[in-house]
Amino acid sequence: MAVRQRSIAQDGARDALPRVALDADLESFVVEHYDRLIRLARLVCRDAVDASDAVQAGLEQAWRRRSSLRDVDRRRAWLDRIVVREAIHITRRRRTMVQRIFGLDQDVEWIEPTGEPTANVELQIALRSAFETLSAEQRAVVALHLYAGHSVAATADIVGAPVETVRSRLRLARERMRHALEEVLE
Amino acid sequence: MTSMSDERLDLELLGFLRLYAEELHEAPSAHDMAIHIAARQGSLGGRMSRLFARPAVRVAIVGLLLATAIGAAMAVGAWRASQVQNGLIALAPGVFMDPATGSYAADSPCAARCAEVMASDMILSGLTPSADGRQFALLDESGTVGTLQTGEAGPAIWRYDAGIDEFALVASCGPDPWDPQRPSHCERPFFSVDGRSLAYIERVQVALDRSDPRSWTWRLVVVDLRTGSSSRHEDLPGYPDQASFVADGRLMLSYRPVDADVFRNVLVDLRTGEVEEPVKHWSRAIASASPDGTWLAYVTYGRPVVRDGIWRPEDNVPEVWVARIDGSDLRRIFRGAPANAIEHPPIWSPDGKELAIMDIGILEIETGTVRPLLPGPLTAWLPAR
Repeated sequence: MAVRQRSIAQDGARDALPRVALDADLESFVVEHYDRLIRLARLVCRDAVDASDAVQAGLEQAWRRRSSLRDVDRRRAWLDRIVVREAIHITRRRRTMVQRIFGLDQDVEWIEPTGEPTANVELQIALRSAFETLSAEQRAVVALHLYAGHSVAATADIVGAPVETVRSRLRLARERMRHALEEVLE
Repeated sequence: MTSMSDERLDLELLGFLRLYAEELHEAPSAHDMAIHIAARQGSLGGRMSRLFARPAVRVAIVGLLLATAIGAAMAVGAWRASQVQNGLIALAPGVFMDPATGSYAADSPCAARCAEVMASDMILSGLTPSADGRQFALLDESGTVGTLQTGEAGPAIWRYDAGIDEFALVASCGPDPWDPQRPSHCERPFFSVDGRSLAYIERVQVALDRSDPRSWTWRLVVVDLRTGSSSRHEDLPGYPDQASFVADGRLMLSYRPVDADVFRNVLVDLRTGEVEEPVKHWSRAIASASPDGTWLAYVTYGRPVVRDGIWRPEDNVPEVWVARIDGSDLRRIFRGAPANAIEHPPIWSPDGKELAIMDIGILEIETGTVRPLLPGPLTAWLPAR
């Protein structure tokens, strides 16, 4: 039973943030990891609001369970694992039954970059379209391996899948992205 | 065009991913996020979400919801069962007894169309109400219903819907392959406990020589009343004198094995073919299942009376026993005076609280008291209209 959290992004009222005594340790913990995690979650969720939800839920979990992590060197991978799994979970939950049955997906949202040459814009559109057709699991391994720089073995550990599965997801994702690129470059 | 190298592809992808990940126009700042997380740590919502995140709590909630759903379904079932009230007892075609007054009833147990059928001299040996009292199944060997409905007479099994006073054809029945004198090869229609299926027995000829008992057999036909589809089940034990469904969907059959003097009452799982005999110690007894399919009742004799080496049926003392379908809670509710053998199965009242038994009377299960029953072949106890 998933518990829907009321997130700051959903509140849409950042001016009315609760007045609480903010623990300095908590704030430094969040600040230290926030930028990296929110971008990582954004790649998996395809949506900034969902990414905020995933990071919020992930950081809450991590903060509560921080004492269970003995090896500080593994903190980054540990946090990535919590947030990426939360992001995959939220993305799956977002897909309605109708979308699952008929394969409909969210509309591709495009924010026009400024000052980009036309060819580059087309390339970005093609890559974006291809990237957004990947599954949440495929986007997660692409984000962890290509963007966050985790090795394939570490990525497999983070997403909780066998190494061969991660390799397969990466290969399929690369093929789709390569196809999109080559169509533009032809 | 040559294929792009992996290095070039990864470089392009990295550039794209960096741009994509930067699109965070709706995301809060790190400071805002920290404040929100801190607020949730102490809030009721935060505590609740942490509580619900525990697997044991989730399992407990799912269990609680399931138990609530099952309880609600049982309560609805019990409420619906309690809505069924006893009506008239069908003694013979067109002859009914009002058990409330103990006299013959002037009224018919059903509405206009049904009353016309009930008053005819059709053979009513196969008249059975559903557990909820909303429908009857009847075997019409004389073709009376067909004549009234479509003008085409022929033996058939019909379902009567008491709510809309309509008959619906369930199955047409051809001549009996074993006994040409019998007009129908179908018999004993009965409903499933939930009233969604109707089953009947079909006799089937398997060899030409009618004098050979092995030249015919029987099978059970189960008709799904919602879809009209039917399934046939063969190789069932014995040839039943009584058949009914019980609450868990199994079939209860009462039959006398070849060359045996006693009946056997077994439960058959139609899906697996598994046969179980819940109560074994009776003799000469045909059991009947209650309308809700949870109890059975039968007439038997405490101890066969044998004088001079001869079994004396007129000296036997009839006893009525009830038990749960699994054989538990077996108890004797009536012991009569010495009498001739009674081999009629008890007929349950629609509310499941009384039994009508030929040659004994109307027997209240809870108290064991007996009221007189008017004479007749006794075919069915119908629910109140």
